[in-house]
Amino acid sequence: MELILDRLTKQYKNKIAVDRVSAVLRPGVYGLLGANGAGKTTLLRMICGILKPTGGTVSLDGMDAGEEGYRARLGYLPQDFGYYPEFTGMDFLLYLAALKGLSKAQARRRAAELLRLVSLSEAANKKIRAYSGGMKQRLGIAQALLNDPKLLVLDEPTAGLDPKERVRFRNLIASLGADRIVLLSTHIVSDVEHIAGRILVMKDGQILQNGSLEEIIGTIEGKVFECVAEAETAKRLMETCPVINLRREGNGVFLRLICGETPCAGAVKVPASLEDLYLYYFSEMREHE
Amino acid sequence: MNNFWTLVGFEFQKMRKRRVVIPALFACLGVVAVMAWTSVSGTSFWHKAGSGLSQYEAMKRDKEVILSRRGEITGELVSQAIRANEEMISDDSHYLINEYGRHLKSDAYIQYALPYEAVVRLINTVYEEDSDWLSTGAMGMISVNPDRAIDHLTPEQGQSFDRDFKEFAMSVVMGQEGLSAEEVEKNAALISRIETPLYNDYFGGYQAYINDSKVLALTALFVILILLAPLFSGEYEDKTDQLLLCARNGRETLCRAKIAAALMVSLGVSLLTMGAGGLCFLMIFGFEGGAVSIQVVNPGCTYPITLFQACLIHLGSVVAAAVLFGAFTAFLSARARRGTASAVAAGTMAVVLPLFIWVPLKSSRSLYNLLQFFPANSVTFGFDLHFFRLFGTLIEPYKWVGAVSLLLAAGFFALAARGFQRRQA
Repeated sequence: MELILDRLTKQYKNKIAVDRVSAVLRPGVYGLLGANGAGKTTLLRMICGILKPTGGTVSLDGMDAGEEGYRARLGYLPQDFGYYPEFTGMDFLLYLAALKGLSKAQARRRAAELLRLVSLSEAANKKIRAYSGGMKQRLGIAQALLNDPKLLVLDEPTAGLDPKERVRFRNLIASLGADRIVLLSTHIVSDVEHIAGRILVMKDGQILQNGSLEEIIGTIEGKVFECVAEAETAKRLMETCPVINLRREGNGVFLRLICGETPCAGAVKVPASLEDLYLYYFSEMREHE
Repeated sequence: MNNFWTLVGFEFQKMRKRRVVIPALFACLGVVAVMAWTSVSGTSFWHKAGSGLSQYEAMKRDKEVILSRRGEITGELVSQAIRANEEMISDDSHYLINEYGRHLKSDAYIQYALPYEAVVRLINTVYEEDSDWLSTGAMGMISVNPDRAIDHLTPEQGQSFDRDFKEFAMSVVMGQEGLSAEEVEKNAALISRIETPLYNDYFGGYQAYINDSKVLALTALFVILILLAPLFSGEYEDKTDQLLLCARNGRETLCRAKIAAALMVSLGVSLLTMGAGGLCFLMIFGFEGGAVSIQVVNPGCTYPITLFQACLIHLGSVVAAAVLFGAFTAFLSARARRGTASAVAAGTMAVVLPLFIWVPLKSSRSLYNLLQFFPANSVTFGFDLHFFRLFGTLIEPYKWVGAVSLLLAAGFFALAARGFQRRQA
């Protein structure tokens, strides 16, 4: 099974939101990382067939994104998850199950199963407008799984979930990635770090990095330092290097930063993390490079 | 197929759960109830004998009198009506005469005129010499000349009524500006098919339906607008469009389901409103009158049909108008960029504005014909004297407007579906 993005482009008047993105995705969990306005949601919408590309193609095992067969294999949780406030959770899932082509019996069975999975069984017959933000998000995840999709696209799926729910969600997604393509867009670096087998870093409509965690972190390996500096030095370093972490320690300032060379006396090289990479790519310092 | 009907069911569930729906349906039934009630509410001074009767009681008494003369409007009946009128106007004791004028007393009217009420109205219209005094409204045509034609007739003249009323109908056709020679000929053929003598009966129920049918129809249209305006735009407002459009059945099948639901709503609301209204009026006034010739209400009408047939044809016109309006609303909903409210506003304009636009047939036939497709005009009784020409054949207006309305509806539904399916997230 392959999802092929071939020079996918979306242009709005004077802005190119997605710029000739090409990639081949095979079964596994993919994390799509990028700052606001990077083009992640635009890319995901084109993959789901709800936004027409200006150029390029999207295909899943040879099927174009506009075809019914493609949609039959797709599960999508949008960033702005919409629902019918007066529907109950169960009604909503039954409706979407019908839209996804499940029979009534299959729909009831699957809806009950998924509501149990996302811990919404007790709220199944309550109106969605009475749900909390986290409950609505869990309902959104449940509807995306109704048709047992081979391509699962999740746009900011852990928004509104508390830490316990986020951990449960990570475990769920990790278990799903074995025989399907899961494409997960998020700002929460730890989600991607823990569950994504491959990471796509996106900026200004382009994919900057596409690889495993180790591969992409390798680009800044050896460039992450920690040090305690005087206030003057700290101020100078903050103006010239991306600073990941900063706190007062005694008479000095503790800094974790990314720098091409040892930034100051006493600075220690430390292993890089995905968060370091994210901030490295999307800090204001990089904007000026 | 199972999914299709399941999706249709969910469309109704969405409609039912919107807050405005139940109040709108109740308002519709409320309008029907109010119209039925006001048709017989209040006090009648007509049968006053020291105190006023209720309108309902007065109606029942009038009906009893009129039913005594139900049947064919033969020359003999017309002569009787003229004779009774002569007797009535010749005796001053039948009038209240004061400084304000000469006013017929109610008991005199009940005795001499009421039994022949419809016939007298017919006589005054058919024998009116000055066509400027002829007034048309709803579906009727009457003479409003205070110098009534019947006052100048002799009973013998009544014997040739069948011939005279057909001549009158033909004179109305000849006096209608803008008709082609073929249209005049077709109207003449229709007039020759009118069965004579005409049939008369008490038709209060049908009269009430005819008088209030436009209000009932427009009420139905507004309810359709409220129910269908969120058909597509509601998905945009609820932000569910993205989920729907990426689902397997979320394009073609879903759009077909929405269109089916819209069709069912348009049919159901129009039939319910008109049916409930008609039934109320008939239950109040009685079911008599269906067999009355339409010429008793409008002697200028050339169609050889009864009141029941006319009302059925009108119901068909209303249903066709409702389907077209439902489709148009669906189209507005799919294209609504500013939400359901904009679709409602545009739909309201489509209903209300044409009420204030009048283009005479003789000024511009094309514009006149175009305006007939707007709901405010297409829900009237369409027994006009002009026809539509299609491949050399003349077609009656109600058939033409009805058929084209359904074709236009299909077009609007298709555009609505396309608009939704092509929506970009």
